[in-house]
Amino acid sequence: MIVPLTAYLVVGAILFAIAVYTVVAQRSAVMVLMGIELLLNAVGLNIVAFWRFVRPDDYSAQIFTIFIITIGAVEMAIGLGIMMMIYRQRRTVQVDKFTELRG
Amino acid sequence: MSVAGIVEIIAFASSAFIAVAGALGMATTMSMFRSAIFLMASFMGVAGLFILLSADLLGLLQILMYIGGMLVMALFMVLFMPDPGGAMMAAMPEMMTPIGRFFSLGLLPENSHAAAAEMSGAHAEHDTHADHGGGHGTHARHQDAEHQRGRERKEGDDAHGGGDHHAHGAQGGSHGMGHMDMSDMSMVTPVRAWAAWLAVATGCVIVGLLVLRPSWPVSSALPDPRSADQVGSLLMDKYMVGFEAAGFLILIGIVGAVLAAHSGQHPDHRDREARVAVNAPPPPIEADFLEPLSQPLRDDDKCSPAPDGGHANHHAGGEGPT
Amino acid sequence: MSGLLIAVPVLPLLAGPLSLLFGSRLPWRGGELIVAATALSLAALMLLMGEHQVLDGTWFESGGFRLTVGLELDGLTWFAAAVVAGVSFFVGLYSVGYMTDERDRPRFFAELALFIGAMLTLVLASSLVLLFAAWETVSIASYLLIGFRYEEEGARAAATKAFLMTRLGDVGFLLGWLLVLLVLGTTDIRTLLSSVEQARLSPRMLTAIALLMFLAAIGKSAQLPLTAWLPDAMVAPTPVSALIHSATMVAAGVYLLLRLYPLFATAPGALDAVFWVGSATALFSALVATGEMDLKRVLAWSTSSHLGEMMLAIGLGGPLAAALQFATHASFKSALFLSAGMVDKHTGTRDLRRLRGLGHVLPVTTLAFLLGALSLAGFQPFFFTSSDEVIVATALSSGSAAAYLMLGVIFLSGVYIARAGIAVFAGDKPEAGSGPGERNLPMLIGMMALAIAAALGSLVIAAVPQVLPFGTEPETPWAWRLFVILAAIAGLAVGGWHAWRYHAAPAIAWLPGAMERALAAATAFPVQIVFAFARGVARLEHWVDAIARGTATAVWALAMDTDRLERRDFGAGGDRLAQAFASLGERLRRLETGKLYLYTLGLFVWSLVVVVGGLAFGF
Repeated sequence: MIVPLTAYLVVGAILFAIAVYTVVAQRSAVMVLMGIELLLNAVGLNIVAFWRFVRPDDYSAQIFTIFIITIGAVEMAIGLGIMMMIYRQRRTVQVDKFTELRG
Repeated sequence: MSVAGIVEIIAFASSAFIAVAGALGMATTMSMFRSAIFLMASFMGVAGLFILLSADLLGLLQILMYIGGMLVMALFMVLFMPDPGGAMMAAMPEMMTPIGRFFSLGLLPENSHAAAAEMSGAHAEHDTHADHGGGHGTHARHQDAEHQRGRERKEGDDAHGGGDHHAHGAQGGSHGMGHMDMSDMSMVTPVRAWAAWLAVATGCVIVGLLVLRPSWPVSSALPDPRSADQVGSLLMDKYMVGFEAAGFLILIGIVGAVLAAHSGQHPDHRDREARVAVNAPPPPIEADFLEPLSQPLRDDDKCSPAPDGGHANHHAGGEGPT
Repeated sequence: MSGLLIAVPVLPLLAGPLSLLFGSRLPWRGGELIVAATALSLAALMLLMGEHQVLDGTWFESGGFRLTVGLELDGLTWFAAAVVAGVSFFVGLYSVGYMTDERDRPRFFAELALFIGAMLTLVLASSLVLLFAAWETVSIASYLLIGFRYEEEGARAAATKAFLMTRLGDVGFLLGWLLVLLVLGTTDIRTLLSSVEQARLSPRMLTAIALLMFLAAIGKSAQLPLTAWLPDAMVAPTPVSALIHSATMVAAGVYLLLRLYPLFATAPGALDAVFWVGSATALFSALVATGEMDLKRVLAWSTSSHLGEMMLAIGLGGPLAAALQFATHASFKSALFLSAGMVDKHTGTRDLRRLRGLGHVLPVTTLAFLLGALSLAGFQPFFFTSSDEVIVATALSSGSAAAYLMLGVIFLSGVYIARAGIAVFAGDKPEAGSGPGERNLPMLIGMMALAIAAALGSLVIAAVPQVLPFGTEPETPWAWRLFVILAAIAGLAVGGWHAWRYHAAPAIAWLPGAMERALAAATAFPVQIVFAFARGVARLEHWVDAIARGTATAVWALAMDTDRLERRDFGAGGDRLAQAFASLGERLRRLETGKLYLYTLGLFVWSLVVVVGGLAFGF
């Protein structure tokens, strides 16, 4: 492989940073969830990169990544379902409107 | 440098570029729909990277599951949101950052007279905002102020929300307030500046660590080209429990999501008023019912640690409802 | 028979409360109860004549000391009890009539009954403790009776004076019997006397006890220097003066000496002290009496003088003479007092300068006074032995100087009694008086009975020595008998002539008055010292109180400061601390905004910080 491991990891890091920005800065809950997907994606990239360069014979990494994807999907589904419920109650899904946890 | 190497480098660069650009676009664009599409692009780029890393199955799974599954879900949710096309924000180009404006090019604004100004004025206004750093800050503070005013006008918010799920093109039309009600229109939270700096810092830290890290224990083994076979046999063999558990989790998730998205309990009365009452907008959130706890200290000698303890009572009264 | 003996003092004591309870409903306001009780006691005594018995018992015993109580009936006690009961009966009868116009008569009769019962107990007591208790009770009764008319200012002062002066003497008695208890372990009088006979006590102890007892007698019998209370006690109603302050209570001092005579006889120096005090008092009081202006005061000084004669007799070793004098003095002095009371009731005054010629108006009284006066002067109308002669005879046995002194006293007594009598009863008939005259029968009976008893004194003298354990009377040489009679006649003549000429002027010019004033000053001086001391003590107490108050104030101030410290500094400080925590919490509340984006921001920032920090500081 010509492209070193570090390059892939850097890409993953950049994706992770952008995803962090998205999670914090986006107002709509859907956008926040998309940001979380991007987070998971970046992590998956990291895992696969390491698998390829460090231990390519053990496919457990790929399975792990599959699980990550799977669980990410489930989480998104449930999150969206909750968001629907909240939307029905509050008519909005903007995260800065939900301040019940304020203490 | 062999051809394969060059091809590999080009492939890597383009995939990486697509991934990063897509992520950036998702983060900054003013339109939610565009945001989802950019995410799709990012997923594509990452899939390319997977394939480049000889994880073919994962790359294809990435496309299938992320894009085919999750993104479609997100798109459906986006359609429920107010202003998914970002028309409101497009009408107010001065509120966007340059990157946001870049990624929001081509959005149709709500007001047609502003649209022309939008197309031509995007770059012009790009220069008029000389203090970008200040722009960040003032924008954030501006939004904070709007945020405050916005809290006092819940009716507008709710009325706006009431017109929501009828049309994705609904320009939030019941109010013609335009610039005055910007807090609802904002796509970002008030801490955008912080978030930006946080992202930059995170990126720098991790990249720095990666660059400065001594070399990884890279092995030069080649992966088995039949990765699907390997993964499949591992799934059925070693990770059977996990596989089944994942399936179970998916099932639960499906059931839960369906339940959650259900349209709510049926009212006892079948008549329309009751249904409307159920779907009526909830009472506005009142002002904060927590009073400030600290009172000025009453400096009189009659203050005694007796059971009377006015301060203690005050506190209890203040925090009772919470 | 023991019941009779107990009945003698107890009956009057019972009559007292009965008089208080029911007296207001009786026609004579309780007087009849008293007279009846006294009559019964007298009858009991008559039945017990010649008996000898002792009723003894232990009051309590502790630590080797045994306090006894009891009554003893022997010759001396029977004799004294008979005198007391007899005089009490007649005076009681007199008082029933005398007190008819007074208020609050049940109280008077109750107090009188208390006195009679206590006096009988005193006389019959067989233990020093009981005697002392009766002694004090008699003092209390005297105080109550002197101050009977307490609205009169002089009465309260006189009562207090009498009580306090006799109290001085009572200290001697208390110390005396405590000393006896300490030495002998018991307070029984017979034990004391027997141990004296058996010479089980040291001479110094004997003298100490004797002198202490004599101090009590000085106080009670109004001897020098404690004479002053007796004349002032004449503000009491006349029956009181007659009974208590002439015949019985004051004679208790003499009685004590007679009772404890063996002790005095064997104690070296005790009898000398008795003689000197007695003779000095006799002479002094007789002199003062010649110049007194108040009829009852004359008689009071006369009482003091005669008690001095009795002390004189004892001091010369003649207890029999003293006992005889005690009996005759009781009768004639009370007769004189009762006639003075009759005069007082009739005219409303006792001042010799204003009284004159009452012989025309009050003949029976005049006769009684005459009989009493003659007996006082030692002049027995039937030429039998008078008690003065016996005293002179006793005096002769130890030298003639004392006998001459006695003659002088007899002379002086004749002087003052004749002066008083002539001044009051002789002279022109007064202008028409408005007094009640002599129509009060009980008064007349009481008075005349005692006067006749006085006149028949010589019979008593003949009969008594067989009863008393003091030996036979000494025989008086004829010459001295003549001297006694001559002295008496001379005194009466001088006094009578002086009074006829100058009415109530003092018989011996200014000397008695000066002597009396000197005595008053001399007795006032220690009283002033005591008062000054008491005031000093009061001031000391005031200081101590001020110190205590200051301490309390300081402690209070300290407590208030502590309280303020605690409340303001600790209490409020604690409050402020709590406030600080509350405001800190309030500030920290701002972290809990409830806004999701802030939470996510915080999450990521913090994890970044942790990572960087961990890397920077190494794991």
